[in-house]
Amino acid sequence: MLPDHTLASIAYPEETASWKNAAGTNQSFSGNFSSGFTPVKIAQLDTGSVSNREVSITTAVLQGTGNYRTTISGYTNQGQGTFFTPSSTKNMRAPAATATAACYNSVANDVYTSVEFRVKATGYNTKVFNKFISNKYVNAISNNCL
Amino acid sequence: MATYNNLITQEFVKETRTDGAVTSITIKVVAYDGDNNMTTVTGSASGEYLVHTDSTWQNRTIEDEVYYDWDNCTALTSQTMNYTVPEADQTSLTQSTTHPHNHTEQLEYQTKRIAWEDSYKVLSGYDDLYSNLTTAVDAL
Repeated sequence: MLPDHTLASIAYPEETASWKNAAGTNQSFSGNFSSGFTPVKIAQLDTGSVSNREVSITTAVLQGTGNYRTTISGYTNQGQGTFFTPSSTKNMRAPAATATAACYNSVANDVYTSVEFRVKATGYNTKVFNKFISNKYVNAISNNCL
Repeated sequence: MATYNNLITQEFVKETRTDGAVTSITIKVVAYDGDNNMTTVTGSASGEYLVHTDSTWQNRTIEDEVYYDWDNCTALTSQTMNYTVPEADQTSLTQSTTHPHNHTEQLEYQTKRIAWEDSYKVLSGYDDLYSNLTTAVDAL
């Protein structure tokens, strides 16, 4: 997201991006909204001798208003719930939290998103092996109408 | 289970007025498949206001910015909740969409709208809105 702070009559532009660790504590992403954030490694499936090993990645907006910016390159949106054979690093995006305020509008979006990983293999039950929750918050208040 | 790689959720707030004053609001959260059946409009220099059936507030557009035209987007599913506005937070003020604006009144109306939002977003029913929406999407 590239916020425009130059528009007139915007009184309160604020934005944060964080994720929760295993203890449920918020952690800040490294980076910023202008140049981007450093990806956080959230799951790793090591190679092994089990045959037909596959994983799936499912995303969901838990709360808030968010949408994925499909124009951002370098990220992979895996099919929701579709199992595939992992072969390389997959980068996921958290949905963008957007707020546009003009003419006395006030907008606050507090988006929580989950990314859930499942793994399965021949002879084994499907198992959730990690769940990741990210949060993006944006607030914009317009204090005039020009 | 249907799969959505670009699930979009949008929240709408509709006012209900009694004798002119806002006495309750309906919060509606809607899920859309962002890759299908979405319609957009582009703001022009004249700064039109966007009208949506489920929203009392009309967003003013900014030139060349692209906005979803929610009334013409196909919803996957939705959930609603009602919030009764306490007497102290009620107002008879309405949004002004033409110049000149009554600056003081519009800021006061904004303050009321922020107070409503701050209040209903901490209710357990608000969390339920989104969890129920997620459940409904998963069931599609």
